Amino acid sequence: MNAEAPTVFESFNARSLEPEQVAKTFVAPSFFSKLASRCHSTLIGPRGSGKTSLLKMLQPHALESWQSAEADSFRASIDFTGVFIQTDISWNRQTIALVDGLPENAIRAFRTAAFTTQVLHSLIETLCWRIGKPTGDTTIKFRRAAVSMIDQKRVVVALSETWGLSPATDTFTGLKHALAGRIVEIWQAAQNAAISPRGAINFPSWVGLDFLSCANQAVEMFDDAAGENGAKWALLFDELELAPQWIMDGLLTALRSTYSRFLFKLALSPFDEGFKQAVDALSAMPLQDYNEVLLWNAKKETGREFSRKLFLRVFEDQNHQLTSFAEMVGFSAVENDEESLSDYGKSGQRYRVLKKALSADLSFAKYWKGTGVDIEHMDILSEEVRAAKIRKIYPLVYLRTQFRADAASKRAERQIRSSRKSIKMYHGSSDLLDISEGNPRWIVGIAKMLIDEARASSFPLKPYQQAAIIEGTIHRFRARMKTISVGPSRIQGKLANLLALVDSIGDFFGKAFVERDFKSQPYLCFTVDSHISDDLAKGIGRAVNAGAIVYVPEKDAHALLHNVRGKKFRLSYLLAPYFRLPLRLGESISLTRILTDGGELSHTGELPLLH
Amino acid sequence: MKVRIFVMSDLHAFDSMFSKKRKPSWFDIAKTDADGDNPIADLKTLIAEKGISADYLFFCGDLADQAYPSATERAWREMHQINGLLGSKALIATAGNHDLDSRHIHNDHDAKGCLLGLKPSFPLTDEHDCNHYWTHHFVVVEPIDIPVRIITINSSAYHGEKKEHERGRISKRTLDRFKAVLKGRTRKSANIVMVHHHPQKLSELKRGDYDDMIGGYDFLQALDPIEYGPWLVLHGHKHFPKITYAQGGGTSPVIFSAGSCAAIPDPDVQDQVGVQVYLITLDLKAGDNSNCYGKFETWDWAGARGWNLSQKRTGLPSSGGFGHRSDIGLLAAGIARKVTAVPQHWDDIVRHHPKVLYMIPSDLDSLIQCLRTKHKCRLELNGDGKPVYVQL
Repeated sequence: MNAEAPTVFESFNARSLEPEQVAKTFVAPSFFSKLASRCHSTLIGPRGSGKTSLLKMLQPHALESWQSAEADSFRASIDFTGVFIQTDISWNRQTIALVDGLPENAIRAFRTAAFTTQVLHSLIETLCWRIGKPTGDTTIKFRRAAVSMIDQKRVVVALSETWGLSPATDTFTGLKHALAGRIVEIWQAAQNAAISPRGAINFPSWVGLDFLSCANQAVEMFDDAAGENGAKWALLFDELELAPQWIMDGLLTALRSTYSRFLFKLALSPFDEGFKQAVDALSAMPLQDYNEVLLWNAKKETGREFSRKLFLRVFEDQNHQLTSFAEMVGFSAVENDEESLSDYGKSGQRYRVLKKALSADLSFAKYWKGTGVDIEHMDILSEEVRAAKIRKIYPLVYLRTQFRADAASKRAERQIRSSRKSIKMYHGSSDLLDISEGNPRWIVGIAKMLIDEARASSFPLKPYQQAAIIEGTIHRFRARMKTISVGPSRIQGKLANLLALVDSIGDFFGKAFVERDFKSQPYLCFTVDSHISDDLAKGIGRAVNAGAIVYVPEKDAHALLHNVRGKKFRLSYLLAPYFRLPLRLGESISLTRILTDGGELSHTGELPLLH
Repeated sequence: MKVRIFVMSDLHAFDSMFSKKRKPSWFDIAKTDADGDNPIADLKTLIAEKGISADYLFFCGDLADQAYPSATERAWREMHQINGLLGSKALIATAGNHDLDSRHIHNDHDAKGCLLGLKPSFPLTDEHDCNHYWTHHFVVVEPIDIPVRIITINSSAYHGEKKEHERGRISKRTLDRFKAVLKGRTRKSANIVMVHHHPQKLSELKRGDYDDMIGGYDFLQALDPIEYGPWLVLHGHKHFPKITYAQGGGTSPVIFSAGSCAAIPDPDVQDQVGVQVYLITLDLKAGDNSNCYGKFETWDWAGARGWNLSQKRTGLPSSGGFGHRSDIGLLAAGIARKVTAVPQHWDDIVRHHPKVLYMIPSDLDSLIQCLRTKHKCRLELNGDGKPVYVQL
């Protein structure tokens, strides 16, 4: 099983895209200006949440080619040169085995050399771009620089000497090619070292080079040659959770370094046990020097605008010019944007739903009595009273009534989770915006499926058509979750996987919402309490990285998690249709109570299945 | 004046519903465009996205694999669609060995029957031209708007007779007729002659070469540059992309061997040959009108990545030229005199020696080698093997 989680739409990945390609379809979320500010940043989000795209957009290549209404203002305000650094196979965590047989100090030395080489390669590649000429039709120049050949030679000769390189020509291109060759050289040196007698490893002199001092030397000489003294450079590190701990530690040290010309923008998944030091270090940073950008929305409203824009942008790219998302998918059943007073009159939809609930749902009738509202006169209530007492609970009542009616049928009694019929309840613009969680990879995937469906149909797509897309998406997401281990914990004697964990939580919430007493704030969040085993706690963390579980930080809390205990979470809204859950935050309950709802948590830490 | 021609060859379309053999090609007519892994569907996307246009589309033969009739018909329709997308004035083709049902599997002793029944007509749309092609095994076309002569030759004309399918042929009678038809015609700025089989041996893949065109030597000798203007010979068949000059003097024809646009290479050579298409731009004013000058661009197809500018290792590089033949040593010495200890962009060198752009890739390689070894120049090459910077 994988320890790390793939996401639903692996194919829509910015990793393999050139910066110019990313810029072509980029929609700036509201927090992009925060990320683009002149300070250190951490960019935290689950896989697929757009970290790579956002970092790539800070490269000058992307900014120069970006064409949108807001592009000019970003070009005017960004005064640093972004250097994108992908976590590479030669130094990430998964390649330890490749250099097995070497003593720990040698492994670390060669991987540090690989890391340094890759940072420098990315930096020099950026220098090559900066001294180049704009291509294509663009008249925009962003952070281009003029460096004479004589100066270029002077810089390259000096850098080559320090870095122990022999480029074919004394040009930045030559230096870049030589650094690419260095990666090959590192592997050769590591292979040779692996067969050397212990203690007799001769490390090449370049093995000890420090990435930051080398980078500092390069940009200082470049800035001098280009006449740009005092320029800022941002090192943009992607997928740092894949990097070894000591690389992460090195970068944290670098944040506090005296090399003031560098900004660090670090992209990370939300959870890693090794983040403790990072959290401590970042918490100690002065506010003006550091900001934290979160790529998920604990509250659904905050992500809607970005999701809406991105959906429309994908439609536009596929030659569907729409003015609103609702044109494609209509409005959702329970959050109709066009609510009117007549809805509460005797022939209105809301009246009928509430009336039906009062007759069929005893616990709701009890709750309703407590509100003091006369159902026959809802249309004469003040706007404030109606909002507080009815509009807030109406979506819950609507969903609960529908699901309870389903459960009343004999066939459905056997079903714990949703059928296509109940998934159909989730459709329309606001539901689809919430379900997609502001996750660009999910949005692009769902948008393309909507377009495919629309080819043989007319707009807006019918709820059953949307349900088929949502069902397929959930199915693929669940299939991926099944492959992710949550450690040696067992659920009814079977090895636990992420899917079993998420199902336990989702089933509890679904059952509580549909079958138990009506609550105006149903249980839809959970807190990881101290009774939860370490393995399971790590499993929750992995689920957060996969986007299946969403972290709901308290105000002013750090978004990086090294320990999930005491923290609040919810299930991804993508899974809400599957478990028959309302798309809202709801009330929190401890994870132990969820897991013991159908039995007792055993003393061995084994998890009982709830169903 | 420039003339742009798009060149494709050896499609080898097949139908997986009726074939149990190893897939000969990526173009399976049992699949739709939406099924993916389809170089022809991807080519249409490339042409539309990049806005590629051409004056003529040349297809060097082998529409289908083993002359499967429905694959032949589908491939011909696809070629006409591509022709339309390119905005080309005409699609000009020739018959390949796979286009003739020489083993009479799908016909009753009429190896070319399927080709004769194609709509639009094969290998050109004009009925008179087609009749000449099938009667005399070649046809000469002289468009009125460009000073270029176009000739397509059927080197598979005798396929259907025993063992003939093993190689191509231009018979003495055909060659005599060819010479007679040309006799007295005006000199053109360029002559493009297309034939399926290779008129001179091509054995780069170290498999020997036994299927070249019989009569190829005499055919190449007949392409007189002084009498009729410079010559560009296009051929397919070998699936091995290469550009070279025919044996002979300094005005011998340029020979452009097109790689396949869809065939799956044999496993032992798949790292040496890719799936390629070409856009050739003939520069009618670049030379002295005794050599055919031009530049080419090459695209490689690689499954899900679709078509991209090529990598040199899988055939022809992403761009290059032909036509300029000179003493490499003298040229290198001339360039070396301008090279200093300060790096220079290769574009600066080209500005002083613009004909470098019209050197075939192997001549450019020799020039680089000469600059490095004889003149001790340091050269920085890009991923396509072309110089970017040079210094001492």
